[in-house]
Amino acid sequence: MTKLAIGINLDRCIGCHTCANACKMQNNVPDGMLWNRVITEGCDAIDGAVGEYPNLTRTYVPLACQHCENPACLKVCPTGATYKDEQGRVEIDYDRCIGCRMCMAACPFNARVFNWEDPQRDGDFNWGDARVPVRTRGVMEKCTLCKERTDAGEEPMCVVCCPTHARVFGDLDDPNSELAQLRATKGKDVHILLEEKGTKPQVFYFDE
Amino acid sequence: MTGTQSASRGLTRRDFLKVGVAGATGLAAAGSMTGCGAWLGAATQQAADEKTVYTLHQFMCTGRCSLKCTVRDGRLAMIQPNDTVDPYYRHVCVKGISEIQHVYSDERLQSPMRRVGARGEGSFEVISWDEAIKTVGDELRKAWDKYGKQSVYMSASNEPRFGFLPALLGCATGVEPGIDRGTGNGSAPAIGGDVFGGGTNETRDWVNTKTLVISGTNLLESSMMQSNTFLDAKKAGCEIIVLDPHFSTTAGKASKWIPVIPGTDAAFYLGMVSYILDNKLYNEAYMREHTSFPFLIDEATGKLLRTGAAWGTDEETGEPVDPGDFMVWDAAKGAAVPYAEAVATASLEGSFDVDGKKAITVLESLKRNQRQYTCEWAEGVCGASAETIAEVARKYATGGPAYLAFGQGGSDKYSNPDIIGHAGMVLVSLTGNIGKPGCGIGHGIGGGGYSVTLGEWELPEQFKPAELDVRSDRFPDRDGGVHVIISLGNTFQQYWANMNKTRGWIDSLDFIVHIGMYYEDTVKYADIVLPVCSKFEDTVEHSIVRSDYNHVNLQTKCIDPLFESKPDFDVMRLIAEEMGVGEYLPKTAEELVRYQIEHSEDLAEQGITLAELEKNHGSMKMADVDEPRRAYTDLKFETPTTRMEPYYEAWKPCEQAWPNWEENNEAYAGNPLAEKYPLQFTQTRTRFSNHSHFKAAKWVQQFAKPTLELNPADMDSRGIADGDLVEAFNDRGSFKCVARANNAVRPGSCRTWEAGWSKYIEEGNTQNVTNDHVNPRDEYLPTGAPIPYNDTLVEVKKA
Repeated sequence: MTKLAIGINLDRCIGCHTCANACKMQNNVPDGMLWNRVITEGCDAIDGAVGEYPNLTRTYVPLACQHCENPACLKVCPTGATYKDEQGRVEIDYDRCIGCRMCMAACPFNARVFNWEDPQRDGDFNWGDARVPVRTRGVMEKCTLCKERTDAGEEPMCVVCCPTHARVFGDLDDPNSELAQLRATKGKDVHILLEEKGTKPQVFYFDE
Repeated sequence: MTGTQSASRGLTRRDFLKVGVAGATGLAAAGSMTGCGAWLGAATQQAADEKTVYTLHQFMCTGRCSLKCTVRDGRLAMIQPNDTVDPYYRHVCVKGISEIQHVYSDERLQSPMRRVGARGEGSFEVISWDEAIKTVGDELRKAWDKYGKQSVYMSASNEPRFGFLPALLGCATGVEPGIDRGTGNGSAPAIGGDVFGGGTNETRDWVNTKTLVISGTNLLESSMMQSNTFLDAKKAGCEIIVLDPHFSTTAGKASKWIPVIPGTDAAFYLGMVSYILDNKLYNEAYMREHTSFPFLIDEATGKLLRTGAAWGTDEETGEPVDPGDFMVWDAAKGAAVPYAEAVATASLEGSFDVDGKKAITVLESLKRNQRQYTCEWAEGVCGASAETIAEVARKYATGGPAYLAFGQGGSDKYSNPDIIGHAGMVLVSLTGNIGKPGCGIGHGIGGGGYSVTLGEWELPEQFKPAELDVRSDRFPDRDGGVHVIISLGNTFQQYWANMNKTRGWIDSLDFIVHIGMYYEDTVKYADIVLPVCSKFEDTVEHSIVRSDYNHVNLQTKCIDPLFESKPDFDVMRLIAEEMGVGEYLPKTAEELVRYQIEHSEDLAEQGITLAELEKNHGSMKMADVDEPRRAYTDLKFETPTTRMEPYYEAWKPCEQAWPNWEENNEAYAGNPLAEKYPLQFTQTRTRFSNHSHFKAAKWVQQFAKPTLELNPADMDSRGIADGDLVEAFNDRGSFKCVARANNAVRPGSCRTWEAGWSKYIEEGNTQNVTNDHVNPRDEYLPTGAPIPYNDTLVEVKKA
């Protein structure tokens, strides 16, 4: 089996948002929407801090679809538009999506964005990878793990563009992959988001 | 899966729900002359007409990215790191990718324009290039006739670049000296080094550093493309200590953050000096052989003792007098001799009788001067505990290779940051932390790697820029005889503090031509506006070759110039032609690129040609750059004696022969003004812009917008809630914007981003409140006193 995923080194993440724009660009994500964003943990806005001055901490957490093994979004999709593919990715068949947004409510990570209106793109141009299908009004979208790239053996664009090399892409089911080895050896330095929800995210975070 | 234990992060679902895109970016449009729709046409179907172009990004951020661009149907569709360069140097940032939108922004200047309303009102009419250039020519000629050529000044910001024009027009220019050189002013004299305070070693060398002290800079944002040198050093075991009033991004990633009172870094350093002296942690062998510490000072005059002529220039020959004549006390002989005669036997300490004069060593002088600057004293000034200062000093002096990184954008924007640079050099002189792997001092912006010298297109000798007695940021106070400004980029917004005063001077000018890409603040003051294009747009195949952080990078055209804009070289040439001096310039930017490559000895040696650059996708790594660049490895410095000279005899009249603490001009404890205006105001640098550039990029605006950040305690006491509209004000002026609560901001301070455009805040201009004080030490400093933007007090109230 194949189980594609990304591991993110939180010690190397400097909260620069380059991954967010790399994703936006690659996937032609419309104005006002992001598939991938960087959260400042525990803060209402970016670049805040937890605690009281001067006893402060800050952790940047890049967040997109966690490509769960047991996806909450998939269970609630009435049409089968959301599916787990043979590469272990959670994907959306845009043609089957009826825009009911059950998945959006079910996703504990708020990773999905919806085309409430006709998508707007400043400059009226479909930027990004020409292989990426253009979505329409009424359709749900989210991180595909750069399906068009990873199908072609390329890394996801967020991994390509991360300036601090904080992201590792690979196959968790391939024990020889860097990703699987990180997952296996980092022990308590591996972090899974909202593990208690039982969705079993494949995306994981780790400390140096 | 695996048997590893997975710790959940402390995030809740609420964390994921509350942070999204920062709202719609429905900000005021520039005016009727902007808006892309009509120019660019409607969306096109994706077609097979797609090409890949390797080029470079704009230079001023110092990230110097080499890029792989996808152009589809004549539009920039993707921007990625150049995938053919060494992975270590392969990068792009949030701003670089934002060019997908930014290049086509509604805020682009599209046509030449002429002012029709009052200056500053922002009313313009579209005119032709011919008419615009003719008007510029007429106005320049008028000024030449009326006042002379030196009455024209070219103020240069990020982009565009007009290198040849000042010489051709005989006008003065500056990438303004009032900013970024504050700390370097004080560090440069000790080693004869860079007035910007450029790091003596490349930041790649930080992996060899054991103690890295960073002060006054948030380099994980302001030098983001070199972040790996910081992260790699930390991984390799370097202890990274950050001094910053605020819990900056860099402070958050450091091993240790030491909060300090704004603008007091020098006090921290002075405390370190005392600790090292008191505990004899200094390196005597280094000091004796490679510094001026054993030199003798005449106690009565503070002048260094010499055997021959007094230090200075020989009036008869016009040559500098012999630098070998400085004297030391030879302990073996019991006599004063020229230092070269007693390298190993010179006394470092003591008081001596030399020809009837009472003399002490430079070290003795420092020790006496430092008595006032104990760690306890420093604690009282900077707010860090004496124990902390002592601990950092001990690590710096004894913990292996150590590096003092200071910076730009923070503590250098007060009235007296030369003291930081000078005190830093005293620390280096005492410890010998220079010229060795992992050891050095200076800013790390841009990495500070190797570079090559490109061929220089020479203008005939008669063409020289003018030199003015008055620095441009002083024009509002002191008549520099300038009546015409050629403004490149958002100069008025970035290079002048105290905007209300600046506006008075702007109003008095005869003519202003603004040349830039975007509808930024400076535009509205212009009489004529000339639109230039981005570096992705061009009329030739290659218009820039650049020596970039261990590489040579080539620009390549991606798309045609948008709207009626032109590449900066073409605009410069049009102006030169209008003034009858166009023939001295290369005909095209590409001719210049070829000349620079073909006439470079460095490139010839390394076999780098235009053809090779094209073949190598626009980027070639220089030869012999595997080891990080390290300066002064022979411990010979660019000073008269080739030693480090921490004692600045020439600065004796201004009480800075040694770094002596001096309160900031405005932001200091006990300033009575603080009763009215209790909050220190900082304009910080941010990853979201490069000075004024990228402020209009919607793909950057989607993450955050300019606000005034305050500590929640200061907001509570003023009845201000997060998101409230507030007014920041002092006697110089005011501005209004949205307040944001952030625990990372030091209580008693408030901050916004540097060089903001006033259209993106609710009212006024952040520069309305900033301090334009000139330190009286101005004339002693290599580049003059810095503009103390952050040495500003304000009060903030709910608007």
